Amino acid sequence: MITITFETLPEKTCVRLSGELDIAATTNQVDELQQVLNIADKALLIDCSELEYISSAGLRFFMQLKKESQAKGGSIRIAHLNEDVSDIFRMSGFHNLFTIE
Amino acid sequence: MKKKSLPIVCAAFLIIAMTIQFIVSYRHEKADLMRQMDYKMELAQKDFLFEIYDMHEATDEIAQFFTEFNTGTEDLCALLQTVLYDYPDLYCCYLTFLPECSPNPGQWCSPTAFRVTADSVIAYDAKDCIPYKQRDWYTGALKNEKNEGHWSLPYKDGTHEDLVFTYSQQVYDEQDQLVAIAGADYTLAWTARLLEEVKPYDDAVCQLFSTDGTLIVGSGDATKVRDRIMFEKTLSPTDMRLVISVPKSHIRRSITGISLITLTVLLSGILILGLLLRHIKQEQDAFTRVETANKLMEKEMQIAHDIQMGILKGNSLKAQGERAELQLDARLIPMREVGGDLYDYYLEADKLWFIIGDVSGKGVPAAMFMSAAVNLFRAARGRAHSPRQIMEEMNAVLSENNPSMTFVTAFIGCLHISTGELIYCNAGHCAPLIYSPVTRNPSPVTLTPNIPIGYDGLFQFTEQRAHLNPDDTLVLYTDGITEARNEQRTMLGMKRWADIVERGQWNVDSLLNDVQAFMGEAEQADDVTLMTIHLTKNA
Repeated sequence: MITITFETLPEKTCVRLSGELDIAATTNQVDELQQVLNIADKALLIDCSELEYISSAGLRFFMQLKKESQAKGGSIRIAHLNEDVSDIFRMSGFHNLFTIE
Repeated sequence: MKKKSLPIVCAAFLIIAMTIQFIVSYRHEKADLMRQMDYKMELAQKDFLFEIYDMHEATDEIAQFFTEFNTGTEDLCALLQTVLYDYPDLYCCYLTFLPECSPNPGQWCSPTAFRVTADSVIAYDAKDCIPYKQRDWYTGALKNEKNEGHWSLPYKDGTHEDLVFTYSQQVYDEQDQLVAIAGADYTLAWTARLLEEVKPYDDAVCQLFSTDGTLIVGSGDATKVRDRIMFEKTLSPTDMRLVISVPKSHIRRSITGISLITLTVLLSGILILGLLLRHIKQEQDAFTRVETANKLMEKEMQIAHDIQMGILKGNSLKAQGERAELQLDARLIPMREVGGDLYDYYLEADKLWFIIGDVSGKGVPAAMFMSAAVNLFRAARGRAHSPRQIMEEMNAVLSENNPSMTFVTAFIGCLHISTGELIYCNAGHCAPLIYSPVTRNPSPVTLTPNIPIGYDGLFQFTEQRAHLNPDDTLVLYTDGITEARNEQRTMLGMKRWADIVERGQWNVDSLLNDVQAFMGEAEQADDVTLMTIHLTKNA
């Protein structure tokens, strides 16, 4: 179960992900995740301070987001990964694909 | 479907309840009606009795005339005429002297008055014109006790075209000597009219029976006794029986109260139940169609499962190198029928080439990607010279057209059996563990993550090297293991996984059992793949 909150700032949109981004979330919460993909043309700051877990299905969502962003001329920065999630990003090589703060 | 049977049960229960209600109220109403009919019958019988009691009164009057006036035959005729005027329904009345007590001793004498038309009456002495001794009213009355009237059966009296019947009684003189018989007649036609008048319902039939059961007169046909409800009463003091009957259908027609409303509701209930059942039947049919489709799908998924398992190599391999012996074991347990995990291996001379991988996502889409990945790995057989080369080739192809952004994390290795030299290339896969019986500490191989394959076809992967000593085990797995959760949703994690590997080493079944033990009753949430490669020195 993932909770997504949006905060629009003058120079960027802050997307806060809370909870677990796993197969259940990507299967059952397509509409909510689509809202993030819909604003991929903007400068997004993905705040993961409350993201507790990410599975390969969750990583695929980041992959989709990046593709959308590149196609629409947006940008993505990922911030505040906790240790576990950061490990997953690192081990899966995703830290090579994203700007992580 | 259980849910759907509930309304049927309720409706059926309701209908049963209403049926009982209907029966009870029907019986109740029927009993009411019967009581009401009983009452009406009694009234009718009383009316009838009241009317014919006139005969009794008339003969009493005649007897009184005789006693009071003690007059001659002519006067008696005149008096009898007045009786007919007093009792307009009587047809005839007479005072018949016993021959021995006759005003003309030894001769029959019978002053008689009878009705010619409704308002015309004549009177005369019938003398010996009538065979008195053959008449029931005469002989019967004689046989009776004093003051006991006699009701005759209908008979033809010779003065009237219709049959008549008579009430007669004995007449005594001042010395209390039996001197005559007084009689009064009714015609049967008149009686029939009377019965018609007193009958309580239009569909009722009234019948008058004599003491011996002979039908005297009836107002209609009542021969089908079985279809009729009979009310019977003896008309005391006459000994005649008046039977009034109504057809049984009379009851049905008369019941109009609660039971009729109940019946209406009951019938509508049955109608609604019928519609409900039809609706449920339709739903069931739809359900059956969906079920059939599901079964077909299940069957197809089973086939897909078999195909996928067929794509995978056998789960065990032993290989002999020049200086070492290799034992490989692998298991893949998909979460659903098909999954996105993969492993493969092949021997080429002294080298073992192998891959383990995990396609992002689950089910059929992941399985299709998985089979493409395995086939690409196999296609490189015989011409690949490094894991990196295979990885880059696979990446290039899988990245070519990948709109769903599905990717594969993979670890490709090439183990030189004789030397234990391991060359490997990683694409975002979790780090395999090397277990050495010397250190007894499973440690992850040094890993450059690179990126998962399927995304950036031009990515340049780095290749790494490690060394396996004899008795070392390389444990390769997918994140379905380290991210397995127990009932408290706690993840297995690297620490516990390392402990399990330390215990089970290259025994795949033992390792998986330990993981299952940690999970307890929790459901498997991801595909699980495990491959162990164990090297031993040649004996």
